[in-house]
Amino acid sequence: MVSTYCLQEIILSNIDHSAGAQPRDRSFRDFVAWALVGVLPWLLYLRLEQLLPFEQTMFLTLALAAIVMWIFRLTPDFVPGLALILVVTLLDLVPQSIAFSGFYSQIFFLVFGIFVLAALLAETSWLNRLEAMLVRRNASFPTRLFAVVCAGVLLTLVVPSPLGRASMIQPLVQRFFRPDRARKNAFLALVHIHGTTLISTIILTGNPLNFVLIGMLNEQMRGRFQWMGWLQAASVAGVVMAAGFVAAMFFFAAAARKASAAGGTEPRQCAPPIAVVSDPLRDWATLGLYVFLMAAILTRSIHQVPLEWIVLSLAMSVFFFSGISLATLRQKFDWPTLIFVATVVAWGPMLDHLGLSQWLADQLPVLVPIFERNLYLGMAITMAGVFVIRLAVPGAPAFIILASTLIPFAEVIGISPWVLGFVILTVSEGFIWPYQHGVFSQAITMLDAERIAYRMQTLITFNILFFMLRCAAIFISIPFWKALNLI
Amino acid sequence: MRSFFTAAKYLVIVVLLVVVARLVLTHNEDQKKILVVHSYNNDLAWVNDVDEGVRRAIEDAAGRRGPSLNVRTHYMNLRNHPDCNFYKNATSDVRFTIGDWQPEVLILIDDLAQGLVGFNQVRLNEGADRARMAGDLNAWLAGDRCQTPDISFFGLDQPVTDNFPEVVFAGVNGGVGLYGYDQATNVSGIFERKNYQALIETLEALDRAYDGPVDGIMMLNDASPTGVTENGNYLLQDWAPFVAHPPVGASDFADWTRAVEEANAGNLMLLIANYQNVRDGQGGTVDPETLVQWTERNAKLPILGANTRFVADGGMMTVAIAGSEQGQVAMELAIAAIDGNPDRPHYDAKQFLIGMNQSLVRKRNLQLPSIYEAFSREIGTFIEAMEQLYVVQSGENQ
Repeated sequence: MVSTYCLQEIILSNIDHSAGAQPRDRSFRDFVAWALVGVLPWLLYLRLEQLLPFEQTMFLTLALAAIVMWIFRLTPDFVPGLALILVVTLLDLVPQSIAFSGFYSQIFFLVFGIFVLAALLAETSWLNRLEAMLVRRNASFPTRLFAVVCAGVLLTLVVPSPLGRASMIQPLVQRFFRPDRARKNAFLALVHIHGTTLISTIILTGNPLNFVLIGMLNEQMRGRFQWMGWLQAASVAGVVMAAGFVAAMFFFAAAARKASAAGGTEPRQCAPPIAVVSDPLRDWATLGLYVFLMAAILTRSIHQVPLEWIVLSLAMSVFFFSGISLATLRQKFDWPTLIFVATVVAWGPMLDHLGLSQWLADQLPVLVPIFERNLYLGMAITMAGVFVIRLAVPGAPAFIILASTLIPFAEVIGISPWVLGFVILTVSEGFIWPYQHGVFSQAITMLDAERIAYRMQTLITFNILFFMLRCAAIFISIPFWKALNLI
Repeated sequence: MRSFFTAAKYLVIVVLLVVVARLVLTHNEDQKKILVVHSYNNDLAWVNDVDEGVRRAIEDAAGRRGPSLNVRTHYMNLRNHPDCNFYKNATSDVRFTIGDWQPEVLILIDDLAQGLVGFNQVRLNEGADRARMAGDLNAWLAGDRCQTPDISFFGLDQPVTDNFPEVVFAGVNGGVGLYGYDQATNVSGIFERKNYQALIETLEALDRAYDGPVDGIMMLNDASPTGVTENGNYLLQDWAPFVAHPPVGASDFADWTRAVEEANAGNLMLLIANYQNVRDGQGGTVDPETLVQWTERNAKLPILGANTRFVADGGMMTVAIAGSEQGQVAMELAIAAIDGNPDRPHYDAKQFLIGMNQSLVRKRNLQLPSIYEAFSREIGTFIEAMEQLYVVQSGENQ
């Protein structure tokens, strides 16, 4: 398959690239980081020992160790989470049924089902067909931008991993880079990275952390933020972001045209047509499956079957009809993310069990009067806090730290925990520098590896603008959330 | 031939899937959905007692192969956020669940849920003046928490017009006229009115045991809607042989202190039922334990509580309505309605609990009939969680 071939090529070229440059010696950094994993929690333990009962102190100490491991990316993301629940179970700090509750929560099966469907989608040739069509038609720059965005947005509906989406669309983008057109390449890269990430928090199935947020809400609130409810509450933010994105697209198209006009007409290279290897039955069956899923989501009030069970039964039918082979499942299914979600969903129940939720919420007494007097100011401070934490901490752990603290806090100030969770998610998914987000760093790595010219300055400038767009979307949503009786 | 069998295989799979889907959907249709809505949150012992009763009734029903039930519980958490905006948001959450899940029966616990949720769900008799009732209710809900808002603020202008659920109330202290229940055809329930005879008998026992003069009794509550209703009921009751002095609804700690001083000066025994919403003057509420312990220390005459938590919060003695009875009877009424029983009764609470703190009784040097201690101990030994609630052994509370 062409896309698989391309992906392999990229991976190979990445390896070549890194082999060519001297690999940075990280042994000292790793040593220091591991030392901090031991020292920082120990200091915290000494500090809290007198303040809190043993169980609570111990849990916070261990949680900090996991967080430090996350910050320095010492292991794959799911490992610190799993290690934490393992140790708290062994030390009997939290009953096993609570520590491992993420593994039998409905969220686990929802993510499992969605990942199976996404793996099935990765097997279809829809993106190849689109790519082949664009090449055949010799599509113009704006058309390509549009195609990339459409693919990104459509995939947000069905593939719950920004990195997975970006990888799936990569072949589509890659073919259109011109080695010497730095500005245009930057625009294309921007559309690629933001098209697959910007609205990932607007749709429940767009981001694994959305499931974590749902898992952290209590049972009676979860019902409200199922697929449609989530979309409804996030809709104004979504519209604002979409409008901002469209404006950016127009700017990119206009700027590219101006550049082309100044630099003479660009000779359009006639790329060789792409052969699409496809299994039409699978392609259409996958599409049918997604249509069925959408229909089931829209008719929930009639059949009353929760989303997770619908998704899981669709995943089962994929296997009944031999839609995915075991080999494909092993290769395309995102097990680490599934386990990661399962381990962190238990944080809320564990903190509740230990009576730490309230304690954490009480650590922010300054924020209470601010939120009560001026909601906008409170939100601005929260967003600034998220931004600062995200300078040092990767997205997923940053979200877990902030959500564990701020969701109980939302209860204290009497606003919907979903709103605060959504704000944290949306802001923490924003990024400016490559190290802050996997999709961006992957794109940069690819551009460097392919020796494609691009302007970093343009990328950074627009990242800042998109970040501000996220913040604006939240501010504009506040009156809407008030009207929805969420705050 | 091969493709024929492949197609046939897929056909079999499709048929199997349809059969299973059909099974699931019919099962879902057969289930009767009951939504239990608490005004408060499960951080209150009362709420957990009610839930325990609900659970007991569900088990009984399952034991005698009653209807297949699907029960969800929703906590509005209004006690922790006594402000109009939160009331509105919490109500909107419940309405969303009702609209989305469409339960056949709504069990509403405590007064606020009746007003915020129940009023919109009742099928009123013809000729009932809904607009006037909505106005009264709106003003009551706003209380002194906010200026009486527009009728649409709490959504009281949007009643259900068809597919009325059955409404079962519990934990209601006063009447149900305010919520339109007395003019509705789909409401049954159980009152939480105090067992006044038991209260009077216990007050008499305290009077006899106390050395000094007792010139009367006085009810002291916070100014929450439940507290106000409680004070209203107190005024309606005949407290003979005691002289009942006007009740106090203390909105803040200063009011509360004044009321205790007034009782001390007039040799009045205090009767306390609701005390969780006394403001501390700094934007928060006084911690109930601190408040009860302060009152116990500063009141000259013995105090009688009328609340399940009163002894656990540091009071000496209480005669309270059992939460578990409220939950159990409410669920039984819900099941009766599902079974097609045409009666919609309004029951009174029959079961009450006694609690006492032995060390405080000894401190006041009271000689109470031993039946009180025996009964308290009995509950304490029977229900483990209640041990600390109802019988605090001497020395434990020091």
